[in-house]
Amino acid sequence: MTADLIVDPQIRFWVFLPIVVITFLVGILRHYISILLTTQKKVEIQQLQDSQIILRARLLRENSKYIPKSSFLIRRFAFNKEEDGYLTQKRPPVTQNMMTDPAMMSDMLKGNLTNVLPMIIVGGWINWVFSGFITTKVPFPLTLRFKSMLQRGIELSHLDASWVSSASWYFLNVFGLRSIYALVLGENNAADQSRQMQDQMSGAAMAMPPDPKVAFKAEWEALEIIDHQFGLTDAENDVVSANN
Amino acid sequence: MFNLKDDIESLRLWRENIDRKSREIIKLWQSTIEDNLENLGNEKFVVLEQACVAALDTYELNVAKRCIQLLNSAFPNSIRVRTLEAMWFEVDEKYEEAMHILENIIKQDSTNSAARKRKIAILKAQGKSIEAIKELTDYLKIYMADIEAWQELSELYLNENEFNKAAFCVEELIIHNPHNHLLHQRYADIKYSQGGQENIEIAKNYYCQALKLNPNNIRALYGVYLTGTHTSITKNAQKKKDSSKLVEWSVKEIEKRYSKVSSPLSDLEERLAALEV
Amino acid sequence: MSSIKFSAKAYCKIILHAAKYPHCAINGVLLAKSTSKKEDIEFVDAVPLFHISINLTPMAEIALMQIDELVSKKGLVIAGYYTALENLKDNNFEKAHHRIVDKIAAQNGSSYVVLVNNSKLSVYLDNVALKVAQYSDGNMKPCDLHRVVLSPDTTLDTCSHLLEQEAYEELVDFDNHLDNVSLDWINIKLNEKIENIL
Repeated sequence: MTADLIVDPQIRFWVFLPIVVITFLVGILRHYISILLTTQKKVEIQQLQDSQIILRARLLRENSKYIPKSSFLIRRFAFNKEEDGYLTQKRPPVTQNMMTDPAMMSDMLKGNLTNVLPMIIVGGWINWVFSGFITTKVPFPLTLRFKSMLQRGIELSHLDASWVSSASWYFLNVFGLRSIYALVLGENNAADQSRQMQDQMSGAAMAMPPDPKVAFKAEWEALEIIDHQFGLTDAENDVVSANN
Repeated sequence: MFNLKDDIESLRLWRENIDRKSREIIKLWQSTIEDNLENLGNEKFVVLEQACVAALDTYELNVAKRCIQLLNSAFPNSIRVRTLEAMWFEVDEKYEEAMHILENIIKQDSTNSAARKRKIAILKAQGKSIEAIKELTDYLKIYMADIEAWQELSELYLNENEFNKAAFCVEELIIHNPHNHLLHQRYADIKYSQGGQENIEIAKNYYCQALKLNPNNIRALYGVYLTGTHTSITKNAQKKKDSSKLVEWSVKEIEKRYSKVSSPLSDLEERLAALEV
Repeated sequence: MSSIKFSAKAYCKIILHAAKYPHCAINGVLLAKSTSKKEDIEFVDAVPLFHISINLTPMAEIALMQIDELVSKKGLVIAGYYTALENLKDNNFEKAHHRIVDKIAAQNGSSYVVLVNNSKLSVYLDNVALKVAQYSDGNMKPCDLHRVVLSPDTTLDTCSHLLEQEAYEELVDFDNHLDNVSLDWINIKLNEKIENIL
């Protein structure tokens, strides 16, 4: 259907904007509640050491060309030597039993509580209150495949796929407002759901996944296969020719 | 002069850049900050901490004591405040008490790196450099990606003239920060100080790399001159040619830098004459 | 008893250099007239060198080359080395040795090593805060403190005055010069200031 639908301007005030506002406020609420609920994650010194080992091994691998060959070899040996290199140290096998580990259970529960539950509840409520409304139109034409994604709650087979229903608009907001949250609440806010789905591997005191053996093995292999090339032998010519 | 806003801004800038402007911070404290603590809003406690450290650095023990008391009443039993207390004892040279507090903190929270670092600082203050080095190397076995610690270790080794080990530490810093021209230049300095044909070759490479990263690094330029001069003393004709070319180039560049100065230095010619091959 | 004289310029600049970088080890060289007799020595000026990693040699070589070239034209020679140790409690000559000392001794037969006596430093100086030793053939021989003379007599007061005024902010050492080549390690302005106060 190419003819443009004429949309009641009142939808703008009573559907479109309220959904944005509601999503935004719920996000902020979630942020503060999660601050109240989360316990400070206690990092074990072993985990800390492991993450530092991985970090250093990775940097060594990436920047090996900036140090002389002998220096690199000494370090690689320290990491990879047979019995007690940093990456080859024997560890007691760690059980990965999610269900019986109480700390992990409560963490999962809290995570679910603050994220998934509100999303379902609010999403359902919006679907019920604002059902049947068309809220907005995507500015570019889309194929019919997108109808099921963008038109939750509206069962009109003739409706152009560019139109977005209220429920779908809500979900678009949840992900779209991420950058606004960053502005308002600063980085690392709990309202940022997609952030939480990523794992950050930078900085000092990061908790490692319970079994570092896999990570160690990966780094060990990566270090073994490096053929060291000292990258600074041409620096002399580069610097003279650059300035002539 | 009542310029609270500017002062707060300066303090914030120094905090963010981790500048060691202890004398200036104390001046600000005495002129405006001390009497206006309630107007600092959210920044009150970080400013107190900053002033406390500055006071300890300038031996203003009373100021430090006051800051610690204010922080203590707001955050009783805080490890962060207890670390400041330990530093207070350290400045007063009551090293036993300071060590005691720090060891308790470590017992309570084995992952607290600040307390461990203070212990090493105390050993250094007591002149026990060997013990300090040992503690620091133990620390680095756990926190092996802590570049501040590697930097400190390199300085400790340099003080003991252990150039080899200092070079190892600077290599570590380079791995973590391969585009920092100062590190390459420092590494070259150490290699040059060690001496020997091979080390001087390596020093030459690193000075050149430092210049690539920052053409305005005068030390690196002088370093190229020095290493080039040394490497030109060789039987290998090609190497001799390359090195001489390098030396000529470096002298020209040095002259260029000095000529850019707006009010030229006195006796500039003599100074540069010293460099002529 | 032969004397070891320090001019106001030399003494004040040593102390100001130490005061500017209280948290670092510092070093520098002392200049004397090339015609001075063997026993009596008068240090007419001091050139502050480094406060960053003073054990590293490349920049020291450059500094010595330039200073040599400059001062020989003025009839002066590098006759001594001064240093202040990082740790307040360190007060002996073991740690004071530096390759510069060897170089000076190689040129002049022996070298004077001046160590700032950290325990005597304060804003109001009432006595000489230096310890002097003579270095030759690998041996460091401390000199009798009574031989150390400051000339003119008002040097200590001048120095206190300068410390009060925080004149050390204006001192330029070789490290400062390397950071910014427009700064001059001869410290012409500071020298004038010292002369004016005297």
